[in-house]
Amino acid sequence: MKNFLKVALIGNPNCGKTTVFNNITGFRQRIGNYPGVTIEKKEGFLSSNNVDITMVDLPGIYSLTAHSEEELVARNYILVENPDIVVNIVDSSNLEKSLFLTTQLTELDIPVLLVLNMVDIAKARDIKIDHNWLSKLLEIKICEIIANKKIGIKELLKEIIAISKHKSSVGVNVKFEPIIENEILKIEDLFSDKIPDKDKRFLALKLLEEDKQIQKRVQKEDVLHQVEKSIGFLEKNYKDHVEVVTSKQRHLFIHDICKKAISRSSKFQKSRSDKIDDVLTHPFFGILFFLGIMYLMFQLTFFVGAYPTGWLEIFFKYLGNTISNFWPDNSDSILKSLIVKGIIGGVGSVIVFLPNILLLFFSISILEETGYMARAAFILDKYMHKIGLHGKSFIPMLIGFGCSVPAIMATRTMECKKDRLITILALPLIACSAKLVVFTLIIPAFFSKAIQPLVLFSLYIIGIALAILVIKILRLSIFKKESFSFVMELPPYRLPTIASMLINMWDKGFQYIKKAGTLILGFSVVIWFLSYFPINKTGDVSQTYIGKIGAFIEPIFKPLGFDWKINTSLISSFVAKEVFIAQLGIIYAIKDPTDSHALQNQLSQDYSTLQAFCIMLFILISTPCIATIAVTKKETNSYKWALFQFSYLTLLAYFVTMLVYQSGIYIQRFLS
Amino acid sequence: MLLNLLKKKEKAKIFEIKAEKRIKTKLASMGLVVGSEIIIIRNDASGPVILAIKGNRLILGKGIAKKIFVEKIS
Repeated sequence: MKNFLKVALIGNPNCGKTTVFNNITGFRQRIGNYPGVTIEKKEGFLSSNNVDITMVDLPGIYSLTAHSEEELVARNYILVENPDIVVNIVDSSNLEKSLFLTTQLTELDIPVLLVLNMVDIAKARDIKIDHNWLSKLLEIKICEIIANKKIGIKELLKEIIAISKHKSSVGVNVKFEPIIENEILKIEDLFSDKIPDKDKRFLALKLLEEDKQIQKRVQKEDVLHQVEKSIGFLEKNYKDHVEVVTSKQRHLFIHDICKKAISRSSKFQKSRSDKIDDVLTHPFFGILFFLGIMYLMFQLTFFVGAYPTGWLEIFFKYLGNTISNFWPDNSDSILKSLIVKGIIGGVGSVIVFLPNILLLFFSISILEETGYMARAAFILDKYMHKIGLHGKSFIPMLIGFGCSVPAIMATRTMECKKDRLITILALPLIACSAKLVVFTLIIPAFFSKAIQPLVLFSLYIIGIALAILVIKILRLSIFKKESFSFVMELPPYRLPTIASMLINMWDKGFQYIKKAGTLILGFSVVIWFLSYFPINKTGDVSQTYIGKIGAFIEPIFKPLGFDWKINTSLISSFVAKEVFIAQLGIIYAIKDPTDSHALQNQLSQDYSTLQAFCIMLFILISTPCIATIAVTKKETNSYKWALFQFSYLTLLAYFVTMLVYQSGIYIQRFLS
Repeated sequence: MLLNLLKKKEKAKIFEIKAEKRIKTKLASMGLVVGSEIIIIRNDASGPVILAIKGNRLILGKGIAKKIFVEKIS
């Protein structure tokens, strides 16, 4: 017997599939990406009865067609990777809907195990499922579990191993109307005898449904000719696409099965979730509740998160000092500087985001697991619609005020890839808390107390307005809007499980460190190099590479009112926005970095109020920190979009700031 | 009549979906096909519609709701 098994988990969104996956594999998981797409590939490992099992958690889908990336990934995995068994998890309280996917799986030449999850809920709703009948009608094995209570998991594993051993439980083919069956037969007959019957039927059906992926795989002239003829005939007969017709007949087939195997009261009952939703999706109270939840989430992520972040900062400072002490005071060892400023500084700037990311994903998994996320998307849809996005992009936008890095990671909750990409690209325009640090230092140095809040507010508004503008432009140009198709399931409210939340939190944190961390660290070292070499005894920044670059690009930034000091600090701030202040401090050779008044005095001597505003404007709009770009690269799975984000923000900042500075100069001249 | 004109608690049967193939098959995969019976759970002046279909709840954008023809069942 084989002692290595490949098991694929598949099911609708919200069927409890991930809970099953987490229960079975625990922390023995590996997360990657499917090649070329942004979809996560989750694999878990376990051994049971001397069999090593690799379990893959495929994306949650409703159908095995090729209309979305998720569907394609799931289907390709099954067709290409050939798992030993497909485990189809379904919500027992909603069986009829779930069987749509099941009957597509049973049409493949692969063992399928149907897992009825949440049988307790079904029982409570008085839904009776006759196992034997259902199993006979679908021609597959069935088992029952309650995933969130860990009931039935052992039996499930046993069944998986047993079925894989016998290669049984392959399943029924949906019977369509004779007129369609006839055309399927005609196409099947043209395939070579070497292809198993079940595969022939699957291919024939998919070709009739004009499945683009399958069309590419079949090159036979006579087959394609017959397919074209059959499609023409069927469409004329049904006056609709073949796929729409087969979907409908599939539902009828399933409905027949359900009539035989399931008994439930046909009367519509208002569920407990419906009663909660009367309030939570209400146009007024719903928004109120949502704002309250968002407030809590923001507080948890940034204000509670500030404590561990502070501890980490102290720790890295301590670590830096301790290591510095290995060298004599005032040592100008390159190694010391590399370790303390380059590496520890770099690692530190990666790690300090971690508390925020962990807390944010903790909150998000509560919202998702309880089912509230779908409600939030519902109530916000009409507002976000107006700016060209939909409900789910609100949460990342809001988190963006704290930090773009977790905000970009939070766009994962959005199913529509285009909407997600647009949100990611526009997000850095929302002023994050690091930009706020720079603003709060510059504003008091140049503006009177009375208008300080107004200046700060105007910067935030400019950021939001530009974000909306960019979204609208992207919608009209690169991402032409298709006919708007917002369809989503509203899952019933459920209690979240602690294990799932912890695993989710751990996953996100680990991925952030692994993927984004290396890039951030790399760039920190590059910036360190540029500001350390060539070595000069006086510590004069203008002599270092970074200072020279700052001076070299002076002519380019002159129309914006910037000199080499500002340019140099801007380049350094690519590591993190607040570094802008630190770098200016070094340039002005300010002894005590915590003394912001000394720096403010210097700045107000050297620059005009207009210049100060333009500096802040440029920092607001221009490319965010390297962490943001690294996360964009990771989340879009492409350097192209990260580069695009970097370039368009820099260009936008350049032109907007130039426009403001030049108009300012002109108005000043006009007034004087 | 069109689905978006139905009021809360009204029951209806779908008799035509006038949308492109991609949307039709997506709706079908979520259980919404010609012949399905639905009950409106929420339909406010603006924003999407929430409906019940075979014990399941779906959110439908107004854009799609306007493309679905229904027959009211009393």
